[in-house]
Amino acid sequence: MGKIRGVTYLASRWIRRQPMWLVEDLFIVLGFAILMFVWGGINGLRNVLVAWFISGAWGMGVNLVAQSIGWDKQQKIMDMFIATPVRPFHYVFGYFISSLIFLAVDFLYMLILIIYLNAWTIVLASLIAVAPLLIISNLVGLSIVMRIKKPTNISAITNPLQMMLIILPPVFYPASVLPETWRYFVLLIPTAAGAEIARQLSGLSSWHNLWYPVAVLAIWVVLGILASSRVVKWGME
Amino acid sequence: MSVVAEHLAKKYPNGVWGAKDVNFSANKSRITVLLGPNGAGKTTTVGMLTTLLKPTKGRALIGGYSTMDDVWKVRSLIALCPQDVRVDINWSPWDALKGYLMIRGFSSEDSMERGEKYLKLLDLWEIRKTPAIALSGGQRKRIAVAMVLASDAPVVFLDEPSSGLDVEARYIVWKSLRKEAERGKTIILTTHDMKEAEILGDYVVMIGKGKTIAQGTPEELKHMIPYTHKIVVKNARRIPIKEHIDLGDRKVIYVRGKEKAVELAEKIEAASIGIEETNLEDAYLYLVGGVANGEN
Repeated sequence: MGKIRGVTYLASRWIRRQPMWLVEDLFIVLGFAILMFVWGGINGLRNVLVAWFISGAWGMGVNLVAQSIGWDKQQKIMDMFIATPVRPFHYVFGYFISSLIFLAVDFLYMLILIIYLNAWTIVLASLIAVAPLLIISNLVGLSIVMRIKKPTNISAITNPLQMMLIILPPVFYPASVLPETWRYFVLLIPTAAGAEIARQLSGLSSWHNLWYPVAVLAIWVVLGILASSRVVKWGME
Repeated sequence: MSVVAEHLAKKYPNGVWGAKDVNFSANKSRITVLLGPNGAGKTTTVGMLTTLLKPTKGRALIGGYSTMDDVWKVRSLIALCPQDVRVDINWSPWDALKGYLMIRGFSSEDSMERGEKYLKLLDLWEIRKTPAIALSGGQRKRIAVAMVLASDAPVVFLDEPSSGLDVEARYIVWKSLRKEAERGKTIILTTHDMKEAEILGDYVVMIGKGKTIAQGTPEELKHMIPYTHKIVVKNARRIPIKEHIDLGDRKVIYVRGKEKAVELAEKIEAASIGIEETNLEDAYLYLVGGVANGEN
């Protein structure tokens, strides 16, 4: 436990030194809520709640954890950690816990909206979808960032990947607005599948085919394990 | 605690041999210096000893435990300050030591107490709360050195710990390393700096082209070459000997015995002539570089 605490302590220093990132999040949450309300009314607000849980989970793995570990690798901090009793689980879990602050703060920002809408079913449904998505985003993020050789590519690759898979597929909008043939194709994207699970469980989707997005996420978990196990090495290379 | 490297070799996936045959042993209360030019295989050797790299051939033992078979036991016994390590810009010296010591099993309170001692030893106490982004490169390097020295690991590896440090900072690091060796730690460091090896090392292992070339105390190594003195000649008009090192307007002649050196110097016509005893650098050039043999 001490090892995880130590990694979490070190990994959370940047948030303590640069708290304005959390303030930036407030404006993004607020801005999208206004945008969705103007165009979609109360239903828009309910959908933005789902979107925030999904985008938060995806960004945490692909962006926060992956970037931090990528920089550790480039700056040889990872080598220092390898030559200690710390195991890969302690290390990745330490980063994971330190990054939870963003999900927690975003939740606090959304709390007024959740209470106003009495949207606890949406929260519960979103949390169910978030669980596998966190695993996938961390595995995908690690498998990408551990392949990166040039430090300048760390943010250049993970940032667009994060945004692309949040903004383009049906995360901020329901997949049910798409023609059914397209829907099966688009829901192969993990963020879209996660959002669809949350919407179907909370009654926000008019489509009833829960097993398809569940199967997609299960396949992504397997793919993520396979992809990351090839490149995530803890010494002895 | 002992460290043993037996015929260590590493071939990278691109086919390049990082090390070919490295042999040495290091003991507690001693600073062992791996000395060699860039690309000699020092960092690769440290990588194999610290479980970062898997040896292609040979074996390494830390306190009798194999780095291949007892990886986790070995990792609990070692600490590594890698070459060119850059501590996170958001870490203050205090943060870095506290976090690292917590990772190594110290409680939050113990890590603060221990951290204070080592921050003072590395002259970082006054700036303990300043984030690394506001510190110099040398100060950041000292944070990394302080982190590994503060750990309770009986074996500490430092890969070029004083590269890029100014004279004052270098002496602070040297002093702290000597103190830790006195306390019983086994310290292994790499360098290509002769002065550092001569001043700091109890035992020096010369590595060249991936192989151990020679090893011993600095004094023993100095006596491994067949010369005792060198004549340094500036702006020579006439040198009555063919075998010398040509450095442009300066020439270096190696000789055995002071009398022979004086005798030869009298026959040289030059702007200035100096006679010096050979040192570790000469031994290094002779044994690793082959300069004195006329190979380079």
